[in-house]
Amino acid sequence: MNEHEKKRGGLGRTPAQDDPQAQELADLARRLEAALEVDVPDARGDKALFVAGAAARSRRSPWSAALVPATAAVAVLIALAVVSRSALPGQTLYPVRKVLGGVGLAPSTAREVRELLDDAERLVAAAEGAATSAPSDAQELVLEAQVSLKEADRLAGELDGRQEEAFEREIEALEERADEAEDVADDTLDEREEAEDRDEDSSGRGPGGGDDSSGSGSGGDDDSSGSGSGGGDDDSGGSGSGDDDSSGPGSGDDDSSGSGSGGDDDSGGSGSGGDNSGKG
Amino acid sequence: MEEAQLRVLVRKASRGDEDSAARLFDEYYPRVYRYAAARLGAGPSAEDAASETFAKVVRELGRFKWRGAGFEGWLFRIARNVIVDMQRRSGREALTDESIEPSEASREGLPEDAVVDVETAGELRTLLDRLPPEQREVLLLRFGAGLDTNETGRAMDKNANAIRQLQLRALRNVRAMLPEGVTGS
Repeated sequence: MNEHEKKRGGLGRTPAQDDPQAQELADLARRLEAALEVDVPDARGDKALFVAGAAARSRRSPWSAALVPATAAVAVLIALAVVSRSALPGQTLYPVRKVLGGVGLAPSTAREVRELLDDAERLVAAAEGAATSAPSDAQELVLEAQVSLKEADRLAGELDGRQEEAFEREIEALEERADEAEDVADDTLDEREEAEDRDEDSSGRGPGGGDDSSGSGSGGDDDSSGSGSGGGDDDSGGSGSGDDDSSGPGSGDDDSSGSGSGGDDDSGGSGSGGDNSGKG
Repeated sequence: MEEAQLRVLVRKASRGDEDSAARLFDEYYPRVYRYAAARLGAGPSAEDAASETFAKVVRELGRFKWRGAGFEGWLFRIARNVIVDMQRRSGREALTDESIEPSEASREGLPEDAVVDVETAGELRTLLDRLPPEQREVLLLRFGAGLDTNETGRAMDKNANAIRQLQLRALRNVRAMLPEGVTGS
């Protein structure tokens, strides 16, 4: 019995032997099988090609097979690096940040401290430059620098002793510079306030001079109302009374200069008025 | 071959295991060749068809997914396509796909002139060309390629019972085309 006959299955066995029709079909199946029986040629060449082809697949498959998981892993790492970038100690993703930082996939703590210090240095330098010309701006710059320095100080605490020490020295130096810039800005502002106070005092005394015995009462009254804003410009050709005087203090930091400027425009008339009120 | 065993073999071969690929070839090359010989006649054409079939199989093995008809279904579908292409290239008519549909139990819808004298195995083989495609296919796979009922079922994406029924109808139709007394020889 050849292989075909073994596989022929039902037809040789299932029909009842006493069923002539079934027997006839079984005979037909056997004849058909014999008619289709052929010798299989030697196919060693095809087999060698087939096996070599399959083996070649395995040589390139590791790369192609690894491509998808590798891509997925990179995507996950990038996502983790982004999400954990700002994680702080005690937060769930902080260990992830530490690990990724350790292999260069997230900014390391030292690098972050460095960046914060660079920021703080720029802010302090800007504050120093603005301390006398724009003291309010300088104060804000100092405040921002102090925030960066505080964060840098906190992160530096996570580093090893030598690194931490180096950063601490730099932080202290910058803090000192920031404090100095702040002091200068404060002093400048104080001076300006004092000057304004003096101006106010001097201009305040003008109206106070309303009761001046010089009898220029009307001038004194006008003076108080007009002391707002350098109306001196408008006072050209002023009457030279106390009206003109009002322009002086309104524009100037100090009384004398104010009256001076007023005097320039006021063709001397206001100048005298200023003097009068000052004296009053 | 059991399906579970075959699955392992195919998986290993697709990953480049040479022994598994060799076993797969040994198991299926003779069947594919016989199947091709049943449709094209034994000789160089059948050899070419089998050879081309296995060349395609090794190229596509990595993309093969075990679903539906399974490996045999996939393999013999490739073989069928190769054979049809070869027949087209050689200018021969594709075999009787439009031929006969069985309808009645006695002659199963065969035309009157379907009854022919059969004196040789070659003539018996030509009778298969007169069968409806599925009936011809089941006889070629069962008695040509030598697949058992389950393997034929997987190759044709049918269950074993459907294959038995199809085979019975096919044999009745063949018998109906034969003159009286020929089958009993």
